[in-house]
Amino acid sequence: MSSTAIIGTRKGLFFVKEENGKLKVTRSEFPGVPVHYCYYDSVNGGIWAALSHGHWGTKLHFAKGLDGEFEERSCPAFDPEGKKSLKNIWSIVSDSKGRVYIGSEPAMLFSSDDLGESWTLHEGMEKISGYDQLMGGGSDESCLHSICLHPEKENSLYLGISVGGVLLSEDRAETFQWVNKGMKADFLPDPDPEMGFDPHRLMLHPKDPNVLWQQNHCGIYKSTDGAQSWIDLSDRPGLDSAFGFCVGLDEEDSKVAYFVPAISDVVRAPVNSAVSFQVTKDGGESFHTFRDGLPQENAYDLCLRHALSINKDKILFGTNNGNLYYSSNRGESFEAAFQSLPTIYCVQWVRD
Amino acid sequence: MISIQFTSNFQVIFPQSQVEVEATTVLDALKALDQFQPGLSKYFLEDNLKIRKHVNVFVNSQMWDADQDLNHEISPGSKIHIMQALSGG
Repeated sequence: MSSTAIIGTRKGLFFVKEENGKLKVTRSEFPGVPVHYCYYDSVNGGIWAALSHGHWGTKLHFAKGLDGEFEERSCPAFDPEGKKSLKNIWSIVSDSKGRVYIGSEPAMLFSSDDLGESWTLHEGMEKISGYDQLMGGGSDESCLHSICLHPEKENSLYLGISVGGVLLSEDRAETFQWVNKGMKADFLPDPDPEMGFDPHRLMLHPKDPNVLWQQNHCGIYKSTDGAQSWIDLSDRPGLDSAFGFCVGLDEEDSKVAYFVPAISDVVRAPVNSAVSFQVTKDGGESFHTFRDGLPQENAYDLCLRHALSINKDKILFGTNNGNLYYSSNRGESFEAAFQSLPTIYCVQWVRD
Repeated sequence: MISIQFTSNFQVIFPQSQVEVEATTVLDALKALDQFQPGLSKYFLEDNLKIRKHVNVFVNSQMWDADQDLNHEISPGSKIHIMQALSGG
C-alpha cells in the first residue's frame, strides 16, 4: 500500500503523502468545490471524485492513476418521470470485474460496467419492504453510504442505509433483504421494527467476511454470522461513548476495530470536549481509549462517517473542523498533521 | 433562435458566456445545451427536469420560479439568463 491518501473536503480534494513520518499536501483539485466522496479504484486504476456543487448539483469525475487529469463522467440519475433526483453521492466501490457501484442520496444503488459512461439503477431496491419509508438521517433524504462487497462470494454485497438499516443481496444486486436482527432503533415508537435503523457506517472484514462492524446511531454493533444477527457492544467496558459516525478495521485481524466517539445524537461533540480514539482488540469485548496527541480541552471535532482510514499501523482521521490527525502506531499517539483544512468528509489511503 | 447567457462564475465549468439554441420552450432550450457539452443541462436541471433549487433562470428578465411550467412556449429572439442563487453559496 502506498503512503498517499486522498482527502475529500468542503472546498476541494487534497492528496496527502507521508514521508519520513511527516505528511504534506502534494496536490489539490476542485478548489472551492465540495468533494463529498472520493475513492481510489485499484481495479480500474484511478480516482473517483464525487462533487457536490452548491448550485450546480452532484457531478462525478475520474482521473487515471494518481497523476491523471480529472475528467467528468456521467452521473447516475433517477427516472425523469419520477419524483426523485440525485442529491449526493455517498459511496463508490468497484468489484473485481471493474463494475463500479455508487450509493446515493436518496438511497439507491447504481452500477456502471463502462467506467461511468452509463449507469444502471438497481430497481430491486425499490421492492424491499419499507422502501417508501426510508428517512433522512442528518440530511434531508435517506442515503446509501456503505457498500461492502463479499471478498469470496462475487454475487454478495451488503448495503448500509441511513435511515433504513443493512441490506444483503446474494444475486449481484438484483434482489435485497433486510438483515437487521439485533439492532435497536430507539428513535422510533417501536424500537424493534423490520427496518428503520440507522447504521452510520458499515464495514465487512476483507479476510473474515462473516464479520461485519457497524457504528450505528444507537451504538456499536458487530456480526460474526454474515449479518444474520447483530451483537450490541455499547455497554462494553472502556468505551468513552458508543455514539459516533465512523469505523475502521484492521485488514489482518477481524477482532480489531477503531472508532472516534462523540457524546450522543443530541450533543454531537467529543466527550468532555476532548477528542478520543477508541480501539478494541478482542472483538468488542472491551475497548481502550487513546488520547495522546489529540486535543483534550475545548475541542469540538467530529469525525464524519468516511473520514477514518487505516493502513496497517498508519491511521488518519479528519474532522468537521478541518483537522487531520495522523498516527503511525495504531492510535497509541497522534499528531495534528493539518489544523486548518476545510471540513473533511472523506479520508482514504490509496490501496494498490 | 434563443440566446442563453451564463453567469460569469460558470466559466470555470463551461468557457462560453453565451450560446444560441433552436427551441420553442424553456425546457427544450435548456436541454439543447447538451449539444455544446454532454450533460451541461444537468448543471441547471434536476433528474426530474425541475430547475435546481439554487439556480436562478430568467426568461426575458423575468425570474422563472421552480414551480413554473418549463414547457412554456417562448418566442424566437427570447433571452435566457442563468445565474447562481446566493442561497446556494
